[in-house]
Amino acid sequence: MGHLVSASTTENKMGSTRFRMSLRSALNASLVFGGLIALVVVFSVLSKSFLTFSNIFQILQQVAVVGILSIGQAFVIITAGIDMSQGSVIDLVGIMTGLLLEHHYPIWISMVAGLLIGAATGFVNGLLITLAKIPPFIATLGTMSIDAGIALIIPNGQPVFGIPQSVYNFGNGGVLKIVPNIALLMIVLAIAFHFVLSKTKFGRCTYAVGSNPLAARLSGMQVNRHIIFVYILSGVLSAVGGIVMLAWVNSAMPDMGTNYQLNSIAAVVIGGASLFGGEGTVWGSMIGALLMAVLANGSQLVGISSYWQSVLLGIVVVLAVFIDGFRRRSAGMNA
Amino acid sequence: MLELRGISKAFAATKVLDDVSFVAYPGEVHALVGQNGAGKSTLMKILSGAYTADEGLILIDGREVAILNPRDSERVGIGIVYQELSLFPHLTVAQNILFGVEPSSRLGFLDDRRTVKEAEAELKRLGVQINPRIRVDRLNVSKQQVCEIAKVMHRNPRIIILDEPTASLTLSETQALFRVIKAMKEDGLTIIFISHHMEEIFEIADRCTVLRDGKVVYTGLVSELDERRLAELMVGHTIGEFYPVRSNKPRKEVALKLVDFGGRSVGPISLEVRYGEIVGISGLVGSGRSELLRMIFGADKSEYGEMYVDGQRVRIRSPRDGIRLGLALVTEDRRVDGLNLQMSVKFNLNLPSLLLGSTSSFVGIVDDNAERSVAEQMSEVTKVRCVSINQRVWTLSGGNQQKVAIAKWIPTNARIFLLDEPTKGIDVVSKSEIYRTINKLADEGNAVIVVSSYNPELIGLCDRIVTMAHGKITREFAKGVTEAELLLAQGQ
Repeated sequence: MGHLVSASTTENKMGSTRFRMSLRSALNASLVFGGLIALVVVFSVLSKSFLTFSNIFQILQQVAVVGILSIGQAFVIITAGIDMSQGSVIDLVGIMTGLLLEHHYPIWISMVAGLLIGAATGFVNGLLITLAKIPPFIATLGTMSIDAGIALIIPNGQPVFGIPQSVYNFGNGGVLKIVPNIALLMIVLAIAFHFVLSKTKFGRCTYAVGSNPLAARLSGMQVNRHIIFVYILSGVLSAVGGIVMLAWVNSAMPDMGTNYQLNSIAAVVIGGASLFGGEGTVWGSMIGALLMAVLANGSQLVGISSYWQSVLLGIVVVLAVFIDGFRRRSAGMNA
Repeated sequence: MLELRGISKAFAATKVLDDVSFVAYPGEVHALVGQNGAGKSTLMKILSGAYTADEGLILIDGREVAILNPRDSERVGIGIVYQELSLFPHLTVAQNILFGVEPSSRLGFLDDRRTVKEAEAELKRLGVQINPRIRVDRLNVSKQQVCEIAKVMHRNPRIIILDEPTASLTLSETQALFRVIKAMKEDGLTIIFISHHMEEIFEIADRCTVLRDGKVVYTGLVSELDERRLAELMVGHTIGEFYPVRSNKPRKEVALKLVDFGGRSVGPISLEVRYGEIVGISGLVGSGRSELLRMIFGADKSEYGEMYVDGQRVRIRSPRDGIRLGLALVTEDRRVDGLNLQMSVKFNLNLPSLLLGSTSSFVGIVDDNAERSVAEQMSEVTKVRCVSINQRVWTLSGGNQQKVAIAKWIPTNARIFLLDEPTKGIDVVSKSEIYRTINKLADEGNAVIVVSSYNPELIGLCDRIVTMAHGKITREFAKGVTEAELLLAQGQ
């Protein structure tokens, strides 16, 4: 009897806790999104040119490359890894695809070659991390330097021009002059990979490997193979970023992507991921990328110097992670 | 001489030590014996200064001493060698032995030569040959243990406490350690030897004190006891209805059969488990029981022997193979490799089934509704108490976490459940619920192997119990075996 009574009071307590928890998690999940809206409001008040079609177009163009990188980076970070080589993949893919295009190879061949370079870099990253057991940061730091070096060696440090008109048109055109093609590509990829991460075995496996690789293995996951796949994914998406950048700026500089990975890491982390793995979403990473692009663009328009922009961005990253950690400690819920 | 008079200690309402008194003389090895939870470690913590007794006196050489903190303990001449080694692996033997009391030259620099010399002298006193200049991580465990002892000895204790020093040692390493203990004994030290390996007690101890449920049930000469009497002293309480009455009889069909099966540290093992049967494996930590389960499941590699599932010869190379053949492994420590703690209850309950695709389409798209209903059903069946199935597992109590760790295997349609310490360190209510789940698994026709250090649990739960020691099965018992019999068989 006593057992039954205590069970029913527990039920009651659980009901109210459930309400409080769902309220809190709803509030917090949208915190970064709220911050983004707030920034938009502030900037549109402070600058008349902020909320114009042409400026929105520009922001979306600026966010495209980092956005695409963040998708791959999100997968990597959820597995408790990090991909430092993304920026150099942009460099190398830009140069190689650019050179092939300059030498009048068909566009699709040039692009596939670029994607393969990204995949190869990711594959090497994966092997170094799983088989050679090198920590992800160091492994990808190595390939970062290697790719960056090759990107300088092959064109002898010179930029590559001669990009076909059609490629340029894709990189700079847009739908209805509001949504740039390259941002549209980012959105399509983001939706696709959001689906992969949240609704497929591959996604489940990514979280499982990141939150506890030992338990994942005993639950039948192929942990090493999965980690390799995730780095290949990040490499391929970085290659897509490189091609997009090539089309957008109409040329390839050997260092045009250098350090872009820092922005993608920041975007993913602002979007709620944990560098310890097991946490993060594509959707959040996109918001994170957009927040950084809006901050950069808006503060430019308002007249904040680029030096101060950097300071501002740093504060935002730290603040976002701080608030998120605070939220995590208090909530204990998971979608 | 160490004397305890009427030591009592309670945590909240539970009395862990109740009027404990005994005397240990210089030049004797005094064994402190008792099952897990008998109060041995609490007593040791009182002597080390980690706890203070509620009542009672500690006397050393007839004088009352107050031990309020670890420093007091060292000052009054008590040295403790803990089960977990506290050496710095990348420092040398000498640096470890003299850690914190390093000799320094007049200018204040460390004097390496003297450090080595003093360490050498210490090791010589213990009668062992270890190069003091070598890094500690290059030594095997038993030599590391000797370093640990030398480190404690260097503080010149008069009473030395060894906490289950043989737990991680092989037989020959144990013999080497015993020679060290004999050397210390000849030096006139009082040695308190904590152990539950019976044969060791009879080999090394002069006198012993047996604790049961916090009380001294025997203190006196070891020679006045035999193994059976000692085992009976250690045991002592009956099993109530805490364990569910087995509701089915094992079937005829053999689910799992091992023939001379084994690997690096375990085997050869031959064992049969039938459908509907619960087989217990009783053994101490390090007896190879966990390794055996992990090898059956494919978590660790087996190296020889044959394994049959449903009479078919199988080769299991990975957990994937194991899961596909209908095996399930609940690991010894759910936090290490049993659960994805930061993920939700739902996520964990569906994880092993992902491999089999019961909740996903052939292209790998997961059916959210199917996952939710699996999770709701499983948490109800095993009585997981959570606010919602989206709650992260780390926010649950240990008992509820353990239920998730077991329940996640049910939807894989596993037929052979390997449960390693399924109720270790969880509350009593969850324990009995897990016992009911295990009984139900067998009732539904599954084969179950339960590994446990706690014999009453196995006696209450299993149809059959085998004992393991040193990687081998030592004996097999039908239902109705007593704790004393099991304890005896474990020690051999």
